[in-house]
Amino acid sequence: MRFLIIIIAFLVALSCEDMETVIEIEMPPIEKELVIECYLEAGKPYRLMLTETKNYFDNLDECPFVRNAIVVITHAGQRDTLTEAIFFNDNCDPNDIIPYGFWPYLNHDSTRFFNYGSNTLCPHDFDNSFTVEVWDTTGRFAMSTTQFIPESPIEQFFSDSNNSGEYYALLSTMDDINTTDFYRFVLHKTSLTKKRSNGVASIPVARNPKFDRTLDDGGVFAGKEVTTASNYRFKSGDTLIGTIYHIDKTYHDYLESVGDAQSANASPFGQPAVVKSNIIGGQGIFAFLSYDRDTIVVP
Amino acid sequence: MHTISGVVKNQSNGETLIGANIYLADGVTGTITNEYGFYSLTLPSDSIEVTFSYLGLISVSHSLYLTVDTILNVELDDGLFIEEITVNANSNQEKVNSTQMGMDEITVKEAKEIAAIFGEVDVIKVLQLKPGVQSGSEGSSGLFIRGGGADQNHFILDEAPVYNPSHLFGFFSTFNADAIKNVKLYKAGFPSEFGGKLSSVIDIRMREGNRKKFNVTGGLGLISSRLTVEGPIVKDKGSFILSGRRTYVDVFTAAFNEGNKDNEDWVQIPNYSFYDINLKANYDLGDKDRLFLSGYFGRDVFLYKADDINFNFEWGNANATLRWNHIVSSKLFVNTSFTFSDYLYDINNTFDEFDLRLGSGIRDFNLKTDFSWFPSSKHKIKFGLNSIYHRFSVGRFSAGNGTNLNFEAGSEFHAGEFAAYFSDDWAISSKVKLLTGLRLSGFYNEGQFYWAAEPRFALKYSVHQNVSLKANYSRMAQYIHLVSTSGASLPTDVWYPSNERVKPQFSDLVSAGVSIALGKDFYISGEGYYKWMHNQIDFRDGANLIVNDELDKEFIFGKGYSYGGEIYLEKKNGMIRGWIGYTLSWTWREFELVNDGIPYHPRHDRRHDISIVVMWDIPWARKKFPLTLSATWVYGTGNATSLPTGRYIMSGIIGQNPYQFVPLYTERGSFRMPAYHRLDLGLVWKLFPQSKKRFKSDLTISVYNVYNRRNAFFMYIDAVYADGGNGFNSTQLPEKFEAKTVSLFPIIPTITWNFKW
Repeated sequence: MRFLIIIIAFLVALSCEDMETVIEIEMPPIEKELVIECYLEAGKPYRLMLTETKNYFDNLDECPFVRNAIVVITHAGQRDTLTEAIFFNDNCDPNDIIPYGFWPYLNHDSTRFFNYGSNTLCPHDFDNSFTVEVWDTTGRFAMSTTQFIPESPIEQFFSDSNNSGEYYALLSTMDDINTTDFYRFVLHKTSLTKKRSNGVASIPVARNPKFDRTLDDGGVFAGKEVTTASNYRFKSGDTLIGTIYHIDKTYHDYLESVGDAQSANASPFGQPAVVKSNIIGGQGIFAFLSYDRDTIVVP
Repeated sequence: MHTISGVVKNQSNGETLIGANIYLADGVTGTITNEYGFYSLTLPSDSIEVTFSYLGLISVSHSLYLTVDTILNVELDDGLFIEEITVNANSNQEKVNSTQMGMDEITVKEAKEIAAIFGEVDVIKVLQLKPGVQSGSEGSSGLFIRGGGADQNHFILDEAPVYNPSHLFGFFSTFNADAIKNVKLYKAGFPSEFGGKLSSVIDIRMREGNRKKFNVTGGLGLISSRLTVEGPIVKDKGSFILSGRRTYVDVFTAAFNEGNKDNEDWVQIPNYSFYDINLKANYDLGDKDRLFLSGYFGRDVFLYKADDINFNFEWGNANATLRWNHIVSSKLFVNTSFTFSDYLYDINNTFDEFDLRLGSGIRDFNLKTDFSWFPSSKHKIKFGLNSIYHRFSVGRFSAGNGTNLNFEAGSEFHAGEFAAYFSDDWAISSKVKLLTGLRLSGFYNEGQFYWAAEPRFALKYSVHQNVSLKANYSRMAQYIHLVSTSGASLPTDVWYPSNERVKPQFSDLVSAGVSIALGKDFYISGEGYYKWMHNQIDFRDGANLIVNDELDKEFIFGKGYSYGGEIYLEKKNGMIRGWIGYTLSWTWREFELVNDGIPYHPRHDRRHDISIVVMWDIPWARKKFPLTLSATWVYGTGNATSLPTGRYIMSGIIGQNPYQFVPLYTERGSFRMPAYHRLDLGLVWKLFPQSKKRFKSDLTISVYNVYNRRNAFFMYIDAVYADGGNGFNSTQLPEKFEAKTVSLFPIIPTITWNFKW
């Protein structure tokens, strides 16, 4: 009997083992491409992050940024060359006192940072397209074009409570039945940035949206009010910031395909997804951000 | 010429025997019983000795002088109290003589002797041990046959299609072994009466119930219990069988949850259970007419309740069949069936005051009539008609809080499927047999009509009495399609009809091989095949498959092909039984919009696949406690899989984790998971089988994955962080990336007690 108990205990112990195993695989090297991430906002200066793709198993300390490239944004015949951020050294060390050894361009409301920028303000122009072109020192070239699309105004933004005194938030816009439209709905709580307790440095809360959803006007929303809502998770007095980005199909497809690619890696049932980029000769996204944003205080 | 015909039954319970051999003394002239135990053999007037045999039963011989058409119904004894059962040689002979190739048959007796995961006897998992048949992944009961997809298998339970043949997300099949009599898998040489799916037919016949006496059988297992009641309605005139099975893991998880309801740190365990019920009754309306009524109902239930969440997910099949067997004459047998099939899944999710409901389903009503005509000893002719009404509910969706936020979506389609068929299995000479068949099928949906001519040919040439060469060609059409991006069969997968945009799928399969009977014990076959699959369906990247009224716009179309060879050695008789199967195969898919149009290997492509199954009646075990030991070893090349080969960093517009990586997939199916291999051992210990007492029982001990191999369920690349975290919302860089495999099942010992009263 004792022997049986020992055997059973042994088998149970085996059954409870960690079922993950690290294995060695050989990855074929990829052709390293330029990666452009650039969002235009009317009235805001041009900003762009230029990196390059890496082999998946490359050393993570290897510098992702592409140095000394020529970056040009052209609008209505006006060519604007973006300037590279100031690098203090060439180490590009993420563990440096100043990470990667450069002083990045930052945007005002989040943690976004860029390594190329210009003081030129992006014009509010419906008629002419914007083109970005990048040449790097190794001869690689990438480009893309995007177009301003008008914002889609917030139709409804309110909160309502359940019997437990918890509130949900609803955010909507009206769809234009004559056009095919794509949207990105984002909800933040309190503020896009807030001060640390010492009141000095700001810490980003924009990176923790309460929801961040891409929607299109197919199916249930065609020609109707495009709506999304949060769970009952807010309390009276909370400040909520709702943003509806009116985006084009290329940006919508890029967001969806990036999400699919990221989730495919960790899912036994996921299918590998190819990232749909609008960058010719590279990866990334070049998109115009048209958005309507509002703030409410939960009553 | 005169005809000898009749029905062959098992004497102990009165059930008809499928595939029983009826052979003359020359060992060449003969036939087998059909799915209803009927046989017909037309012979010249002469003195004959005809032998009736069936594996595991005692053969019976009758001598008679055939001068008139003769009805000879025979019952074969199971020889329970006889020490040595005479086994027959004709089952191997029949396989050699037949034009049929690419067919595997298993009995529940075999399945019960083979070790099973969690002790759950599963006839579908036994099929996975046959050559040319691959499981999708570790533990799955999905079948991938000769390169076909999981949705290209036609599961038929007593002639009613079963649309989702699995429980627990694919880990167990819906077929309760206690209620099953016989399983046939056709992977080539499809008989003309079958159609509707490209790659295989799995014809499952339920038991009819004991016509002689009442029996209760059952079992207590690690995760489920079974109970079957059967008996005569009127002795030797009719019988019934009612069989049920239920898992009870949810009983324990509910008790744990209840016991910890005051523990704030307790994380609720979801309650999961499945159950199924099989019922069948039959009655002889006379010597020539027999009526059958059979049904199946099964459900999986997944419940999760915590705080404000109430998640209820149910799915399952319901099937019913009403059949009428009529012996028109000694040469003509007709079966008419009306079947009902229903599959649905339903998700009800309440979160706070929001309700979300999502579901899909398919429902069929199917009327068919099949004639078997035996005009002479040289011809076996089959013909029939089939008409199916399909109703598809696709993506029924509703959500809202009942006041100002409500959505609804979903589509419903009504379609018709029709078929007429004819086949003649013609013995041209003692050496040559030719089967010619044609199935004409059609499908109607939303004003669109498709039809197809599906020819079937099979040729057999006997090189020797025990050796024959065979070849066949089959064309199959499939008008309904499974919407699934998972590559596996999940309950949320949706059946979708052909329409103007979605064309029917077709396959053309050619195969050739050799069959060899080595005495009464051994059978060897070798087959090579090439299969073309046209109008294959996949989905564009990022397809929205859940709430989409225009689902077919997400489809993309391509083609597939598969080729390979299979070798099979089988020994069904004697103290040591079993088989060895080896498959060498290549499977490809080619879609213009996938992998840049370059052909790629789907997940189930497997270069080498080996199965070794041995059952051994231990000779020195005491007769009061006979022991049967089984061992199963499987080996397969790792599944094809895709991994990202590149990456880049992305910031995003809302300033997500600045060290978030975007993976870049370059080539589909270009990596292989580690090779799969596993040894299972089983021991069936019968307790007093020769006792005159009515109550009998056995203990079945099985050990799954004996050497505890970590077989990969899936493979992924993980980011390793210095703080041990997962990097979500982190502003730190990972230390490194590493490839990992995730396994599901370590060594799993199980004991099951089975009884019969």
